[in-house]
Amino acid sequence: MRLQQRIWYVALVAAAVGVAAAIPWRASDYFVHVSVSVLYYVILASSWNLLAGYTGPFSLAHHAFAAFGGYTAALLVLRLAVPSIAAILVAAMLTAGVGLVLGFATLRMRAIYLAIATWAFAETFRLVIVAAYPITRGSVGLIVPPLFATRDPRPYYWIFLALSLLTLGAIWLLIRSRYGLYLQAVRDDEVRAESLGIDTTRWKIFGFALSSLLAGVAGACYGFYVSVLSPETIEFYEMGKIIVMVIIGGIGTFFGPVLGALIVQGLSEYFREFGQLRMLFFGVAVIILMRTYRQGSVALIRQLWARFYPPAKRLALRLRASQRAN
Amino acid sequence: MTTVTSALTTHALTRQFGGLVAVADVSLTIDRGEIHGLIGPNGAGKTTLLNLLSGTIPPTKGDIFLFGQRITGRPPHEIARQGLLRTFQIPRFFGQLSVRDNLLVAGYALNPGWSHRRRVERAEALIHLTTLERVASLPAKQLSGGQQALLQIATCLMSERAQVYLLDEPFAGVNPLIKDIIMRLIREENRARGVTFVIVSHEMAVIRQLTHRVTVMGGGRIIAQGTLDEIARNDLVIRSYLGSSVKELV
Repeated sequence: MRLQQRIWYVALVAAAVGVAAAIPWRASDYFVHVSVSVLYYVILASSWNLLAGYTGPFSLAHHAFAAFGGYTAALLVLRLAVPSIAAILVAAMLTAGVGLVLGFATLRMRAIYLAIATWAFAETFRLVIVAAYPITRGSVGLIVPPLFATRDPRPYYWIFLALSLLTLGAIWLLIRSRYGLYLQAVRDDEVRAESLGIDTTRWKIFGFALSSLLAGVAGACYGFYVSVLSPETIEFYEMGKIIVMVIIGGIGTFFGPVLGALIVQGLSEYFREFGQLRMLFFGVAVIILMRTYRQGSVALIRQLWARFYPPAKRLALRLRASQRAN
Repeated sequence: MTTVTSALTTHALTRQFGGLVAVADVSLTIDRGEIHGLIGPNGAGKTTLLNLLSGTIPPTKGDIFLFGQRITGRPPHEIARQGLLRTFQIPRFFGQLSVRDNLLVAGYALNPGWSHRRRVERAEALIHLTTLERVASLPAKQLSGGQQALLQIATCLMSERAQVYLLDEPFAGVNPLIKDIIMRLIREENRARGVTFVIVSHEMAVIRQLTHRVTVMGGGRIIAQGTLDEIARNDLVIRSYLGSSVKELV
């Protein structure tokens, strides 16, 4: 990438981050609260996209990993009096460990079998949470002490903004590295990747562990924010929401999950009065996208931009070429 | 024991699928720097033999040696890094990655010690050699069948350490121009680096032009070995595979 383009890129990102960081000073508590949930889903959708979109395994356990992180951190604080920050870190590591084991267990499974196995894992975890009432308080819900003395959502907003930026930065660097190419090679053709010297087992498990770790961190922090954890967060509805976000935004694209989380969570809040009917709307949107524009809204925007602003196409091609050359 | 002059050796290699013996007691020696043809009727076990040699499937019994080192039962990525690469009958590639990235992935995996610059230079040289310049930035799934066949071979050639290539029907369904390019690449690698090739093909004219020796398989077993001229005079081979028209080639 040329220096001038790089400066423009950095300036644009810095401006966007600056605007995002300044939102809480001008916005209402409710808007900030919704923004926190959007950022939470940005992390979940992006980390699931890292697995399903860039590596291949279509896991249906991502919401369970977030909940696992949430419950682990909360229980460490409540039962063992571990400081919150340490609890979040330990919860993240344990979630990555569980992701690693699940990745290993489902290694040889393809498509629907992997989806069923991971869904079964999530459902089993939900039932364990319900059944282990003395520890988790089952369906009643586990009250989690907040991170801050105030109920103001602003500090949490900045925490989630920082976490989202770290997550996106890590994914951006990863997918542009040789390891990102390995993950995408495994996604496209495992047999070919293996025959070219890529240890597909290692990279699939890495994908599982890293995406679980990110979900675990998000889940742990979100637990401290919402102050109550219940098995409802492990309902399939939650997983469906993450999938819808990624599909609507664009699976296998970097900005897709970000845009998808913004659209789906934003509209979910706006149409709150419609309850579960909202998922019906998103379901229809996914079906239409799958039949008409599988690459999702990010690709659609890119194409429209290139059509109505021809220099954009040349710029996009140049950027793509220069990213690899660097 | 295997000899040091052989690139690839198998001892009584056998692979069963349930009751079907796809490869039966195959003992084969491919010399260093040899271009070896592997021919036979459909269902003879040629592709299964390639799958065994590359580690794609494990043998039921028997042994495989690569330059004297036992590689039986080792995973394909280890065998690839040890210097044995392969192509597939139906071209396999990374469809969503660009042609250039397909080559770079192979470069990263097979030459970990290379600088990025060297990897890019090698990729660009291969893009030029395979005449894929115009499509180098396109996703590989958008290529034509012949271009995909070329890309598949080019990704293997990204390795400078690979000493044995197994090519499964590299000329099937490609036009004469691409066939010429593939033949030129094989000859060039063989001549310049002494690379060993095992080529499965039904195209006798190509086998005649390229190969030093030929192995004929039938029913999972080796039924003949030698130069094409020698095996073309073998009655069993003529009856079971070549047919009498082979005399035109000899």
